Amino acid sequence: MKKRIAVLASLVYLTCLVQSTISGAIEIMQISPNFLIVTAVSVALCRSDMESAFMGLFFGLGMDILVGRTLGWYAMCLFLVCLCIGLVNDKLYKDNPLIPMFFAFFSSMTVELMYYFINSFLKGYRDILFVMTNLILPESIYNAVLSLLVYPLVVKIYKRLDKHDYIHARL
Amino acid sequence: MRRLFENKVFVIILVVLLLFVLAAFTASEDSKLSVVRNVLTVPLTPMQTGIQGVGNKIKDSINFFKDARTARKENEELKLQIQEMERQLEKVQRLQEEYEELKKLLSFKTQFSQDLIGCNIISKEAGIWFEIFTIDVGSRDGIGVNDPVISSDGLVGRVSKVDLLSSKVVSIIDTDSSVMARLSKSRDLVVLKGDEQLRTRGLCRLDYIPPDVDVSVGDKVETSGMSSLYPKGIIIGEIVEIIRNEGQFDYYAIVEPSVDFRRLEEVAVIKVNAEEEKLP
Repeated sequence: MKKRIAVLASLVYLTCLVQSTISGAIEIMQISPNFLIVTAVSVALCRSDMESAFMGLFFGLGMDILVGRTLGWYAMCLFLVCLCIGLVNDKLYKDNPLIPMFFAFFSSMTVELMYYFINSFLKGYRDILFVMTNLILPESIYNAVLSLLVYPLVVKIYKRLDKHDYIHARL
Repeated sequence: MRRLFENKVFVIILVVLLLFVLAAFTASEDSKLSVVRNVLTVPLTPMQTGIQGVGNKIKDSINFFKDARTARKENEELKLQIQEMERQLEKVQRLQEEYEELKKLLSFKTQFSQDLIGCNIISKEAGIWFEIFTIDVGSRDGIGVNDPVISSDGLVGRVSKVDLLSSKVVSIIDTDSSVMARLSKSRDLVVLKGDEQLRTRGLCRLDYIPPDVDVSVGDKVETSGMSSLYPKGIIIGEIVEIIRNEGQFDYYAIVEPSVDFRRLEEVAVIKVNAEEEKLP
């Protein structure tokens, strides 16, 4: 259990590090992907509902700290989105690569749109069309493509963890 | 009690409520609860510095051959420029002495003690919403919230959050930023604001231009010193477009900052607020 927590915590730290450094270097047309959302969705796709919700919470808190504004909004968005994914993921055929792509795309849309609604709550939504087409949509597409790389990695990490726990439980 | 925590719905509602409380307490920029942020930023800072350093090295080596070609042409141009500048420098030095003497005569107060601290940008990407970047100095180096940040080209922004080893800087093109500015030519006060659409192109907008003022493309904009935030007379940028709405009395202008935010690597922080705290 201790090892599990250590591995998962370092997964969060590593994703934050990648997001804050590499993400900016691979931007296309000034839009950079969001590794934290992609990883949180990938985790949510292969775990139970509460576990994925809390992993989403920690990824969200990491994003909040990186952004440097009010703590808690990204955490709440990702918590709720990952909870929803965790509730339905039993019914999915997860070997199909379109599944993580689909979920990464729509989760990014939902999370960023929720964040926009919360963050400009009192400023008004004058630029909503521009925000949708020029910021949220390109980022969601980028995230969807990125999930093809991130999802197998996350699955591999969890398989290793489960195998390790299984062997130790037998001993 | 234990059964309550096994109820999923209860746990979910509790977490969401707790997040609301956390957001309420961390909403202000210098809130005490921001200490929590150090959990992530302290271990991350040295690694970010390392990766950013390696990245810059790689970028430099890629650009090496391109730079070598342009360097020769630039060298000749620069030599001419140096000659010109030396001539100007003599003039400026003479004026400086004169200015100091006159200032002493008038007993002018200097507005800010210019205690500069240089620093590197270690991370730029923070989602799609904000123009915020991270620098590698923090409260350990005496940085405080709202300290102005400048580069050799002009005004960059202000410090918004301070952690132990790093801090966040909000640039002037961010939607939450607004600067009391002054038109260099006519000395009129205007307000410089970030705009959701313009910031993606690295521009910002100039509001509240008085209707009787004659502004034109190419006019320079500088800080006014009216707010306590920014020192007076720092160059901000240049007007590139003036937009007049028909039927509306006022109009606004689009300003291109003299700082190129995409290629910014090193900045300097003016320590203002830390200085004030020391005073009784």
